[in-house]
Amino acid sequence: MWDGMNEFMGPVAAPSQALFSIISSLDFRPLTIISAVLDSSYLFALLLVAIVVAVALKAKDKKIGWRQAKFALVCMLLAFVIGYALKEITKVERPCASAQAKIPCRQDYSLPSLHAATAFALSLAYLGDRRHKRLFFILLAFAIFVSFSRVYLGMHSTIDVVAGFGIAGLAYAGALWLEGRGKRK
Amino acid sequence: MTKMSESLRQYAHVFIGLVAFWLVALLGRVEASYLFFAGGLFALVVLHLHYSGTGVGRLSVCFEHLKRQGQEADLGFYWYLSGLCLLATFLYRQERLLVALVALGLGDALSTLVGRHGRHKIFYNRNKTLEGSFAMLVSCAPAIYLYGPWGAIYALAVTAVESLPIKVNDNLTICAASAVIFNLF
Repeated sequence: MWDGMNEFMGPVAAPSQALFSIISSLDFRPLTIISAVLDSSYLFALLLVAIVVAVALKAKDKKIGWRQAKFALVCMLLAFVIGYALKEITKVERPCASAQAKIPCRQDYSLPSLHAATAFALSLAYLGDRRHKRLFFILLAFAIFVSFSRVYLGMHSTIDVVAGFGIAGLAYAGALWLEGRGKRK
Repeated sequence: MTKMSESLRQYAHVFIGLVAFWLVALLGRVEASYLFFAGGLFALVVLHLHYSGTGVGRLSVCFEHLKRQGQEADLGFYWYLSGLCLLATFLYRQERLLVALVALGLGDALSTLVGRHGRHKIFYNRNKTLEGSFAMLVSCAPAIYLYGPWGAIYALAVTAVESLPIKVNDNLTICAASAVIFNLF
């Protein structure tokens, strides 16, 4: 418990990897297959867009449905742009670069997790929506699963996922701000 | 919103800031970030239940009591935790994180509490006063003490960001500014 305090007073210690080690050491074949499918950036992006379009098509009021879809897409796009820029700035190596992973390691950087950021941004787009009360929980559960799968595969450390959650908040705030500006015009 | 409930809101702000400070000091930034993440998820679930009309029992009364007048939905608690996630993940050095937490937890609340009694309006933001900004600057004293001129630059920049008339929550902008500025030096 006092290690943290010592760290406060002394030099910076390496981040704790305990939780990452536990999750990435799990091995369950069906989970590995699903996680590997979600790992593909194009497939994952397609899945997110498909969810947004499906919700818009199912909406009773199509106009509101498409407006919400536009907001969700802006939210995810902002999360992607902010996250990608931060990846290039921070240049943190992926954990799979130095440890064994369940699938081949990607060549780009680790912090933050773009999968987590975009998935959380999608769920945030439906926060407090009275027309789709359950949808938010489904999307939040999906975002948590995606985050877990990234650590499980060894593609990201747990802190990257937490950063993704923070980036999603930033993207949501940005999307709300843009929406407010749009309404004023 | 009455002065009383605004004060209550700011005391809650300081309390959460203090809890975050001690969590980081005692557990370390990575472990503390997990708790911020969990808190953020919990906040999202509660906020969705409240704003989608499902209700969260007595917590709903708290929401209505602490909500700012004229706001459709007050996501302050979520922005705060989202900002904490950003700080904990992008500020690698623990003492810098603790300095930023003081600025966020104490500075933001102090600027509101002191600024309310101020008479000198800021020319670019008529909703804020110079007295409030001065209180924010004072709360950044640990940064000036620890980092000298760089700390002063940080203090001035964070104070400037807090006083801007942008429609994005202070908690998020202060965290983003802290992460950017501290990573520059």
